[in-house]
Amino acid sequence: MDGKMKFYLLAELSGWNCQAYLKDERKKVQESESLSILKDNVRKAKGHLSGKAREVVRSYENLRIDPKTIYQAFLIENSIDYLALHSFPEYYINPLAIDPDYEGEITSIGDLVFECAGEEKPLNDIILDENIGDREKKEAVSRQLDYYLLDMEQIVSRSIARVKKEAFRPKSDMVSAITRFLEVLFFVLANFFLFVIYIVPFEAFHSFLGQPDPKYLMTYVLYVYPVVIYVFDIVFVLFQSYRARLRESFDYARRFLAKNADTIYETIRETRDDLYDYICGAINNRMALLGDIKDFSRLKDAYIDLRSVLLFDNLKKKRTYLLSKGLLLMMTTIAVIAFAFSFIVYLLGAIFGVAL
Amino acid sequence: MTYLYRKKEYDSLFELAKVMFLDSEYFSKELRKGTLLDFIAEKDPDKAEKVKKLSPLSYPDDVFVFLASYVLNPYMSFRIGKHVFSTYKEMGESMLSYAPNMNNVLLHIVSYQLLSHHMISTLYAKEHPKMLKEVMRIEKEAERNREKAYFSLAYFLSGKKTIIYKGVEYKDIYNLTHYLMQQEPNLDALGTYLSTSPLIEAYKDYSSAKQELDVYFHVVESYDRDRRNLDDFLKRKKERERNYIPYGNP
Repeated sequence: MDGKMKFYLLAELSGWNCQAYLKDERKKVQESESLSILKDNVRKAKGHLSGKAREVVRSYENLRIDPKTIYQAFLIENSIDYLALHSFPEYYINPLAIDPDYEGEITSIGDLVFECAGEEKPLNDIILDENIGDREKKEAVSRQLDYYLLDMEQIVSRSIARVKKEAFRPKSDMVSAITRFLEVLFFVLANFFLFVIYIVPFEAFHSFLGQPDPKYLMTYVLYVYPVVIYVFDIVFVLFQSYRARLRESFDYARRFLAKNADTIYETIRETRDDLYDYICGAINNRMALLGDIKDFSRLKDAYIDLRSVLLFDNLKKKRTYLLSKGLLLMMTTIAVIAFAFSFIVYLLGAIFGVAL
Repeated sequence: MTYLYRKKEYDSLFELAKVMFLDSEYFSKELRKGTLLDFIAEKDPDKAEKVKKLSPLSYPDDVFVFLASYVLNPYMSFRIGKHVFSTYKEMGESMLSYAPNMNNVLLHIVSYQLLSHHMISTLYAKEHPKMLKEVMRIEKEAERNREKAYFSLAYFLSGKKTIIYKGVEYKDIYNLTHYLMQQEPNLDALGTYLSTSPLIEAYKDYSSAKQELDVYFHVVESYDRDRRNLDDFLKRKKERERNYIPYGNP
């Protein structure tokens, strides 16, 4: 916003209609550096579970760049600038909740922004600042770590709530459970039928084994049906293994959280105290922190992978999962048609003792 | 003994004090040197002592002469640096007449708390304690923002609810912006100036447009602050990336 827009804001607030001056403003906002930074950062922030990262993502998603007045244009640009700044990982990363697989630009807890003496700056700058007393520094660190602890406890609470939701599924989820049962039942039946058509003696049918004749439906049952079922079997088994792998840590976490939630909370509190002692050591020795960003993460600790609990639903929305599921559905449909066709041909042939 | 100033001989400190505001530079030198100080000492040694105590302090000439003249004659109407006001209202109007600029001499009134000094000196404050309290509050505000304090004092003393800009009086901001929109060639610079203008800030507190102007200043301030924070952060980040030095480099 230039000085001119500030002038129009004053005019608008005093009663003038200044909508005519908004024309170019929308375009300017859309093409602004702040918005471009925000978009880029939000994409990265989506992979983080911390409260601030979620807040930035949510605020960005709720952002509507369609000002009707100069006043609204100012508020929107202001929000974009504010969000752009707070969308940098320095602001939203919680060292207790950082993904241990994180390989981003932040390498140290000292890079994170803390508030001290009424100013926001990187922790390392605070540690090395000779003008701030150690006591004030430690108080600032304690306040920030309390926030990190609260944030982490909320992540655990959300995980527990997620597990409980899974344990007491609503009816719509029961439908998908029944669907999965029918899938397995069909898998067994289709393979059993395949076994039957080859094993049970049926002379009129088996004669096509040596001499296939495309005019007879039995030929298709003998040659096409097995191929369809083999492909279906492969897709079915691969998909079930993939899904089981995705669920593995989720199911483990679910079982663990159901019994040991208190242990998790205690571990996090202990980690917060360890981190406090660690930073106080750096303050006492005027040493900058380096390469320690993941050292205090409790997102995937010895007991549990909270990330897998909270992101399980997201994994199910991934392209690979959706493609695999689509492929299975397609194969199941083909297999069901092939099964129904083969079963009818086989049954009629068996009843009348002739090859169709 | 008499004191000669502009071919006129002064026998009374009271009379001399009344003309000192006409030439602050001259009297500032005279008060620090022998001739005038001897004259004062002969007439009233206590007052001479008080003036002597003022001279080592690093006041500007106008302020030093003002304070010294009220030592000599505490009951004069307000006079400083060629300005003389028979009423405080007149002083306020005069201060506003320079808007959006300020008169440097009159700016001393808030910077050096001269009005409260005058009100107490002339015993005006005894009859108007509420006014003295408000004046002192504004003078205190000058420690943080003397430009705003200048216009606050001007509005308070003049009792005006209008806005004066470059010699023209406007009923309100609506009229001001309407006029400026048509007349001002550089709205960009004007908008930037108005958004931090001490005149508008002071006007806000003494007009009926307080609510709208509060919103205006709040929005502009938040906008400028967040933009500055983002720019500073990006600048620091770029510097760090360029230098490739970790914080502290232990």
